[in-house]
Amino acid sequence: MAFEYIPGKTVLHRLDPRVKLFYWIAMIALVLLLDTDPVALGGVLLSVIAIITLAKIPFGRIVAFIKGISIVAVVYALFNILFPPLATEFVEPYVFFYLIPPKTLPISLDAAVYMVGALFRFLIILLVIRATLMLTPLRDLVLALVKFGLPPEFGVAMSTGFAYVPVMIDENRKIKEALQSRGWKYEFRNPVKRFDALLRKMFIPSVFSSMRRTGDIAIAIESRGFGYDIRKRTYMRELKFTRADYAACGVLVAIVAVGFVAGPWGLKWAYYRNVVEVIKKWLLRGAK
Amino acid sequence: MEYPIQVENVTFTYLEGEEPAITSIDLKVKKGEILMITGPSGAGKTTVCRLLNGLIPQYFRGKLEGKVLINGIDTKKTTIGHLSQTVSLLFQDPASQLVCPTVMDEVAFGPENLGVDPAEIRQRVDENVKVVRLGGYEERNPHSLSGGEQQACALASIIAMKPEVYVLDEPTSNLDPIGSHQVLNLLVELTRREKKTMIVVEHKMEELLPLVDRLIVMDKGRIILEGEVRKLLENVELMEKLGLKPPQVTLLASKLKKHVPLEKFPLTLEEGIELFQKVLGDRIRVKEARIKPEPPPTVEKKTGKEIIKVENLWHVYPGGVTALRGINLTIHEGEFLSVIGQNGSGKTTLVKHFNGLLKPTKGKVTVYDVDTSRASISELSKKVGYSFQNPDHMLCNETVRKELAFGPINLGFSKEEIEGRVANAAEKLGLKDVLDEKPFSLSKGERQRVAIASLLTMGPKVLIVDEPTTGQDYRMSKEIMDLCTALHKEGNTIIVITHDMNLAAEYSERVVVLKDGEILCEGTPKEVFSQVETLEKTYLKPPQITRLSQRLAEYGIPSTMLTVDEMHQNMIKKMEEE
Repeated sequence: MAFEYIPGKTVLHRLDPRVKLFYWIAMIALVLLLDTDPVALGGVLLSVIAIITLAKIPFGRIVAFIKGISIVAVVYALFNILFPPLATEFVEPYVFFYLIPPKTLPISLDAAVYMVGALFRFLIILLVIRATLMLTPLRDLVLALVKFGLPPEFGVAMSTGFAYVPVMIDENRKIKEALQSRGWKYEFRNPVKRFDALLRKMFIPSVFSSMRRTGDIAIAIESRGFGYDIRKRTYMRELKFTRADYAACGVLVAIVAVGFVAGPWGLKWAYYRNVVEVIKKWLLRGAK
Repeated sequence: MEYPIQVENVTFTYLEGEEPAITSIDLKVKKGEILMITGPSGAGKTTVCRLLNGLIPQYFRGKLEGKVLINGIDTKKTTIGHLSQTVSLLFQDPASQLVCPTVMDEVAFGPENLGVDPAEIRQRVDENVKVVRLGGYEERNPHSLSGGEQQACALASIIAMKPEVYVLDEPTSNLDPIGSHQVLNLLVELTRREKKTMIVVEHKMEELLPLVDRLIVMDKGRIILEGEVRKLLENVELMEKLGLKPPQVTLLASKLKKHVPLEKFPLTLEEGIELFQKVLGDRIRVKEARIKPEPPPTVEKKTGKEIIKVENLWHVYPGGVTALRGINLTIHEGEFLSVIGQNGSGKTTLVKHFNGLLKPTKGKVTVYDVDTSRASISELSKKVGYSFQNPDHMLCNETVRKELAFGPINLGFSKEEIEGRVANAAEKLGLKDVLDEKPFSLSKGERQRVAIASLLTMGPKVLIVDEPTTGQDYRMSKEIMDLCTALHKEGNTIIVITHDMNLAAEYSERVVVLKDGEILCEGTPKEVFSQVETLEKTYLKPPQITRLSQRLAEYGIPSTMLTVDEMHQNMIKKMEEE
């Protein structure tokens, strides 16, 4: 499941969900500020791994997650090395070889460094989101969003939606089994044919069952007083900022500030070209 | 006298309806009263429930005549939200009223909406989760609970709103026997203890009638019987005619009354035993020899061709749940078999092996000499038709005709052959007039018949019907079972999964009882239902009439009678003999 919460009692679990949302935002800001410098981003990636370890999230889950996204990651990396978005910036790139000789699709040191940085960025964002979801029950995140100003109607809609994901999966499994029991096949080799079979036959019963269910849910929610007075609605779970929460926010702000100063908009310490230059020097050392 | 609920001469027509759903309904419910409403499907019971918390006319639009007053407030002039402080509704399907990610949040949802103070909400949650015996489940997703637990959770979530009136619309019809027993008793206990008012719509008269104060019987949108439960008992034969299911002891008394004078009608098994012991005792000398109950007659075992053979079958689901533990079972051609047991006992898992939807984890299942682990579902579906519990999961075509043709097309029959099969199945199941209708526009009973017809066109020899009676009234249940009987007479093998002991007793030739993935016992209905103590292990009870006959054995009544008619004839015979 994509929204799997693993209960635990570490400091990180106990942090206010708003801090965890802030952690997402801070990390996204940080990876954008740090350019695609693989060294700096490598450091950030290590910090994310440290947090995962600190939260005692079973490593097997993270490995399984990375396996799950590996194909997308490889495609992303290939795309970045073949078509670096900032290709024009590569002044006199150090080319290893050309994929199509003599001079098309170069594989260069510059692009390789850029690719590693981009891949780290990609991994950091996905891991941060994944780890936060494992650390925080979804309802707390929704509540945090509501506290940040999301209308309570959306909050209820979101948590109801998520609560129904397993129900819908189960319903669709039953529909598929019922179709199979009537001699229906969907396991075509041809993906177009397979998609067509799934869509055409599963569509009607799925739509019917979700439509009826949506009506039932609306009735259930109304009957439980949802329309009473939304502005007066209270929440059983109260969110309270503790000292640890303030401290965590402080650390996050500081890290983002350092990222800004170090990045290409600041002192350019963290800049992928620096890394390229260092490696290039080292590679050309013999040539001198 | 205080009347929290007053319905004055109400007639309501839904926006999309032509006829009124209910007509001239007058209803006054006293504070502290427990009122049961029953009636066949389509009688307007649910419409009455919807009136009471303002869903009609606020959510369901239509033409409302007359007045509904809740604590003196006209429901037309307020909102569902405000009424929810006074009246809480519990619905039939637990799954579609659970809207939160955890049990705790579910129970808190109502009070949160009403703006109750958080500390108070936490206290109500703690308290009510315990009241419905879900302690320890606070952090579970309500949808991962069993049916009975889900309904208990839904119940806790309305109790936590502290309403004055509970309105329950068939709260147990999706539950297994133990689940429904728990929910009904919990409800009544709670209402009595906290002096609340309760209106409950139910089909399960046998269990609920002894617990309520007043009964209303509805039919075709009108109230046709109303009064104290005991005063209405004389009308049980009318209720039976309406397709309801009054207590079997009451029915028996009503039938016997034509031959023997009876002072009063029994309501419970205990009253029945007392009454009939007296009736028989006055007329029959108790014979010493009869005191030992007769062993149930051994009926000839089926010896037809062995068509399904299950050998040491184990099934473990991917999540690690072991659903079946070493099942051995042989099913012969032309049998009528019922599989009974509580939810989670493995009934559905077992039968899904017969058409290959599931493959054995260990052991072997052979269907018509084919090892199912080597056969495809579509190959097996020619032999074994499996009708799902909810017919809506099976309907996927634009018209009934296409629905019936879907299976045979998948199996690759010729066009003429398919047309013949469709016409034949439509004829058999009375669907000729609706062949060009949309399946989803039909009534639930018709949809169920379409689902079964869509299997018949594939020409299976074995028909598995999974809980055809769940969520249906007694008349519809009987209709489906009669249909199974007709198909059985044509030579088909029928396998029915059911929670309804009366139907299992009345219709099947053999009963298999499952408990925790194992076969607890099996045999003819008489053999199985005579093993009262074994059945108790899985909280199943033989039909009331069977339990009565077991207690009257000393009067020479053959023990383990399966139907009211059988019991009635035997009692008359016995009394005439003397």
